[in-house]
Amino acid sequence: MTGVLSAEWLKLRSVRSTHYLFGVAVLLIGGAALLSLARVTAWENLSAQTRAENSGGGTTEETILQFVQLLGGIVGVLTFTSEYATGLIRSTFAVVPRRPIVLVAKAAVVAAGTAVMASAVMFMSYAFSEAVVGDRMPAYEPGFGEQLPHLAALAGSVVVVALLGLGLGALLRSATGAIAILVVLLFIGQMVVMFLPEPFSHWIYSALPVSLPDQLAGVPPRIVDGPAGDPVPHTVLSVPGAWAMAAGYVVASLGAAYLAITRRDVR
Amino acid sequence: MIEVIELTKRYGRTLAVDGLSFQVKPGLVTGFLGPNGAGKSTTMRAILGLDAPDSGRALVDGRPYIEIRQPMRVVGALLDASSVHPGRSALNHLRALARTNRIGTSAVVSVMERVGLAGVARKKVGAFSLGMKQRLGIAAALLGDPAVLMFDEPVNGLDPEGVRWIRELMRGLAGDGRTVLVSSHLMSEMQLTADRLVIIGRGKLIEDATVGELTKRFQRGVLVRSPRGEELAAALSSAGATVTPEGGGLSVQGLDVPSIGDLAAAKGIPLHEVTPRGASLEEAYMRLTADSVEHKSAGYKAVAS
Repeated sequence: MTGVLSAEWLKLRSVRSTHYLFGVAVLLIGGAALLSLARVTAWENLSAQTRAENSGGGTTEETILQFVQLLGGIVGVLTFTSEYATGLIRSTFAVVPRRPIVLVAKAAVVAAGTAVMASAVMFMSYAFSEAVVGDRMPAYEPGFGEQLPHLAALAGSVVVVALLGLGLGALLRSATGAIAILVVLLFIGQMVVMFLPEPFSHWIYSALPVSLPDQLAGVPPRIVDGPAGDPVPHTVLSVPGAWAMAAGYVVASLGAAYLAITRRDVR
Repeated sequence: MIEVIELTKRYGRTLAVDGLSFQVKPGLVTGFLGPNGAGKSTTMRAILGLDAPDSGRALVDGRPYIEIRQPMRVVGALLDASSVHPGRSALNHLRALARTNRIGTSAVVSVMERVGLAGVARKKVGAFSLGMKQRLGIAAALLGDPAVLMFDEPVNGLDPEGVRWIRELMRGLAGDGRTVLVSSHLMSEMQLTADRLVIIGRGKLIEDATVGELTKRFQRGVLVRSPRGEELAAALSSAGATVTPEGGGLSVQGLDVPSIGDLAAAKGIPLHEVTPRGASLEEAYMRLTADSVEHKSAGYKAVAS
């Protein structure tokens, strides 16, 4: 098992796509700092009355969450699809005929790699944004200690999406298809729920990966009513419910991957 | 030792392998021959546990491949040399494979030297020629120093020097007492490399014999010319041979050259020509697999008419 783990780790770090994805993650940290600067400038140009009536939105880390989730998801997807696309999967399963071991090893290195990546992005984005914004915006008024669980939840949600990508990759064997599903889930899902009737809109909104961090960290729903007083989709899960949801993603994804790789021939 | 026992594999409605049984013994190079689409690669994938057979089984050293804990130390296989991630270096590709079976980096380095890739170890595999990829695939097969080796069409796309290198490598591996199974669709190649031939067509066993046996089987008798042909024909027939006139001479089946010579001498019949005629293995192979070729080219006559 440790042999397979170290082999998968070597595979992950020895291809350029991983370097690019992690490189983009580093750029996002700089992007977050710049975005914070723009936001605080815009905020301070608003009238005192407008500022009193609005919150100014969440932290900058939250606004880049989906992009970090997508990066993590692609890392997961490519872990399997690059092997299917090149045919390397045949060698992989020939040298480790007990295929679930390969799945566990891939899941472990993807989880570890994206956990480090996402934590770095989230914590450093927070640090830079906090330095830029200070206490000039409500979102950054709570200290690091209060923000910690939420930052950890943001990073954790990236790991969940990465493992979801891994499962989709094993199941579909095609990077294009798997990444398309991720994009729908991460970016388009939010728009679609707006058109769903209550209470389904709240349920589906709560199940979306982008809604997980708030619910995992126990942050109450931000906006319940829209500008016209009409209800907008908001989070409804309790903290244990959110953990169960996150675990459900991982279990369903790895379970589907397990069935896919053990039942299918490797051609 | 590889044993394939009543192996059957279906893909949808296509019967890729159909009740195939054969054994591959140590110390010999066994050629696995058949036209394209005959089921050679499917059989090899089944032996490696990559494809689950519909019925029958394949055993390596008496056990199913998937039960072997560190299979690289038992079986080395080259299936498709192009099945590598183009962005990874040759060294990292082999190291990743080696680590799964707890094979050290020193073994990786020495195998790379053995196949002549030591100079390009850190180059990306995507930049490799097909010949270099074949060598990389063979390096992967040799990593665990296994006693059983399987190569699927290893000489495809190689230059003559590479072909000779692989031929000598396989002969050397068999010379060490290892079991070597090598597939090809070319008899001309196998004739030079293999001791034994397993020939399949449409997933079925057509022939399982040594190269010598096959050569003997496909002898087409002896061509004899004599100024006293009719007299000779009578004498040969009464000695049990089948004699048919052929272009002024006689085609004799059932008697070998010394027997024909002795018989003629005893009768005092002069012989002007005695030629044993063996079909080339290539012809023999063509005839054996004629019925099982998937896409037969239309004959000239068929095209003309």
